[in-house]
Amino acid sequence: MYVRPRRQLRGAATLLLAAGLLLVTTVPALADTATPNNPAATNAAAIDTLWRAVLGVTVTIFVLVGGWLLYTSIRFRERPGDSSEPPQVHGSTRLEIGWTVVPVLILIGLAGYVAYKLPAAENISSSANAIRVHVTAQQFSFSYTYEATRKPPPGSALVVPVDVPVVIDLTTKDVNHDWWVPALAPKVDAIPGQTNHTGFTATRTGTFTGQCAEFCGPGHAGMTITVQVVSTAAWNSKYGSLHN
Amino acid sequence: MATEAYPAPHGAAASRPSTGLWSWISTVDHKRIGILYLLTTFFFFLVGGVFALVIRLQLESPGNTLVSAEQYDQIMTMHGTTMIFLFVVPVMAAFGNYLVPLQIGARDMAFPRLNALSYWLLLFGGIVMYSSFVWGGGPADAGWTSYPPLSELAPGHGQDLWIVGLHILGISSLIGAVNFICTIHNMRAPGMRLSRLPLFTWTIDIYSIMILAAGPVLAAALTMLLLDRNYGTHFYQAAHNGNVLLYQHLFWFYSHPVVYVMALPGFGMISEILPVFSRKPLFGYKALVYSTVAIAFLGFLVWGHHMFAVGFSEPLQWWFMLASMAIAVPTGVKIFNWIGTMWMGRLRFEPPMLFAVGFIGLFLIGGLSGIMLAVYPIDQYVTDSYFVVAHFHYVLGTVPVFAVMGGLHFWYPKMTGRMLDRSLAIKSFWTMFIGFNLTFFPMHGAGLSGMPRRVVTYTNHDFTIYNQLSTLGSMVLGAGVLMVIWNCLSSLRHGRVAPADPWGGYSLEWYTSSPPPAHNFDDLPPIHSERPVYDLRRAAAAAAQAPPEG
Repeated sequence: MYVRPRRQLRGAATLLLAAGLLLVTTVPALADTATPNNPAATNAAAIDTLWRAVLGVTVTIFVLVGGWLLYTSIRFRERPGDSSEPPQVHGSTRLEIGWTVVPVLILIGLAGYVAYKLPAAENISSSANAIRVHVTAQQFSFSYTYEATRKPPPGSALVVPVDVPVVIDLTTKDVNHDWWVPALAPKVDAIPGQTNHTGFTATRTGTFTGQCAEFCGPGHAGMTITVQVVSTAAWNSKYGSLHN
Repeated sequence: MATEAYPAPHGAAASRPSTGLWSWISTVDHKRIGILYLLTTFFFFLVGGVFALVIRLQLESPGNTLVSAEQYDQIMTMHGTTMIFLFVVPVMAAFGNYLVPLQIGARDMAFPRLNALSYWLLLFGGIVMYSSFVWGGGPADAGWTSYPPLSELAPGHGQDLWIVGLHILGISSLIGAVNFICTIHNMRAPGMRLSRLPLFTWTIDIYSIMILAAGPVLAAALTMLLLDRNYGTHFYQAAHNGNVLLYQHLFWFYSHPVVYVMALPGFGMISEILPVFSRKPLFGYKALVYSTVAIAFLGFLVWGHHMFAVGFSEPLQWWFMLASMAIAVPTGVKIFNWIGTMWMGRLRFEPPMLFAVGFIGLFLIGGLSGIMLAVYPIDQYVTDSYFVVAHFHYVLGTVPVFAVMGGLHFWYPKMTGRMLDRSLAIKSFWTMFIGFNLTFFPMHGAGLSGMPRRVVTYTNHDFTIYNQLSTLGSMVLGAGVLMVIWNCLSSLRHGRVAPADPWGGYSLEWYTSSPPPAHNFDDLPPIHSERPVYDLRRAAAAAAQAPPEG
């Protein structure tokens, strides 16, 4: 009978190891599909980096604490025939201080890392050659005007050149909205009575889509956004008059 | 299974009260009021669940047209409102009503008639809100948060009925809160010091204090919304020097603490179940109480993390980020102390224990995604997306589906005098566990790949697989809930008769008969620790072993 607990211990350890391996192999795969999708702007890329770091920390905590819970559940379950009372332990001050202080230290580390990464993630350019675009939201569309020329883009898509900082000034004509293009920038709310700002510097050309992210009424799901990032040459030859 | 090693329970022989309909309508007995609360809140849980299933069926494939956009907005608004205000918040009052007087060894609540009033106001508030389905131009459709200007522009009176309904529910919970606080602080049996209070009663005390502190703020926010809509004021109208964000600040100053109003009594239930089925005392009783207080206090300082995208200044973003992260510390203390309670125990995986351990594991996931959301550059990416929907179902959906269900399986024998079908209960746990994860885990992926919440449909095919998994999971989860309901109904008639103390319990409710008599206790055991019934059982066992005198 005395061998059994040890054998069960080994069984539990194997199970834990298998679960750990599964997590370790699947999480990176998950992380690839499930991050700011293929960031196409400098600050989206910074958020992506930040995200991967935080995901790493939290998944590690999950594996350790979840593993501890699973191990405890298996190791200490009642065995048939053993009706003895377990030791009546009421706590351990040393342990409890430990598991208060360690999370504090982890969080301080995390906050420090965020502070270090923040400038890149929050980049609203103050550069003189930044392209400033006024974005006006209303039920259920966004419209764009280039500040320099007060002209809209030719179609419904916002057209910007690659590698040039873009600053968005966001306002709304009616209710709250939110401008969100996942590949380019974090989202920002459009709120009556105030002008909010976001921005991005696209790192590759292409057409990027997004949609309104603040519930704004029955047409919310159809309030889409298209941003066309064009090459410098195309911008200069075809769209330059929008900005200059 | 525990046997009654201590003297036979008292009160079983007392005459049973009358059982007619009028006796229920006119009752001021906390146990009957608790059961009325329980039936009402579970009714609304089923209604809110049906709304959730419609949402999931609509989102099953891109471009689906099961419901129109207008219907969808009403359904998602009423799903959130129902689950929060008509289920999770009042279901804690249901258990609180039934258990608090029993756990502190009292005859009833401090104000029995007020107690009946808070129940009838709950029902009335629910009826007022739901009356918008038949008149007033349909129910509210601006989301459970009902941000202006959208909620101010909504035509018809659905939004007004929503506001008035919430006001009535607010009064109900304020009255209930006053009653709980007076009961817990004034009606405790001799020897039941605060340091010996069962954890569930502790959390109901904190729940009540939080409702008293936060409730009036929501009432103010809603009153201004009602005035703006109907009486020409401009509190939230930017064009008239009002402030749109004022509503969001007030709303979240209430609604973030309410997250803990809902979660803390759930934590209390877990803290009751784990030690009994581990056959150990709570590991770190004081740490569990202090961490509850710390979570409640910090809960009032973090409302802005719901508003990271509104354009706060950087110091404000930092404050709300750091304060939100800080909540992870007392929450972690709870999880570690719970596992510490199980460590070296003799764990009996009866249904309540399965639900409790399942809760810890799943709440851990919600807590960790909460740390991600506290980091505001990440939050600005994922806020208002399905990632947030996944997160708050892992923290708030786990409370009703695992903590409350655990509590229901734990206390059902006490409330009804019947045992639930054990094998069906275990099957329903696993069904809900699988269904819950299948429903909500894929939502993380949908949000991260760019799917906003509150959309009636989508055209991006990247979202399809996540939504299909969620829809499948929601059906499994729904089946699990039905299994529990069926078990509760059929066991009323066919269940094995429950003894006073089927689990080897620790707190005073296990000392009296199942169900307890109207006056609760004929006498009380001496109270020298937080486990009076355990002490009694131990003393009886020691006496049985001692050689007979003379």
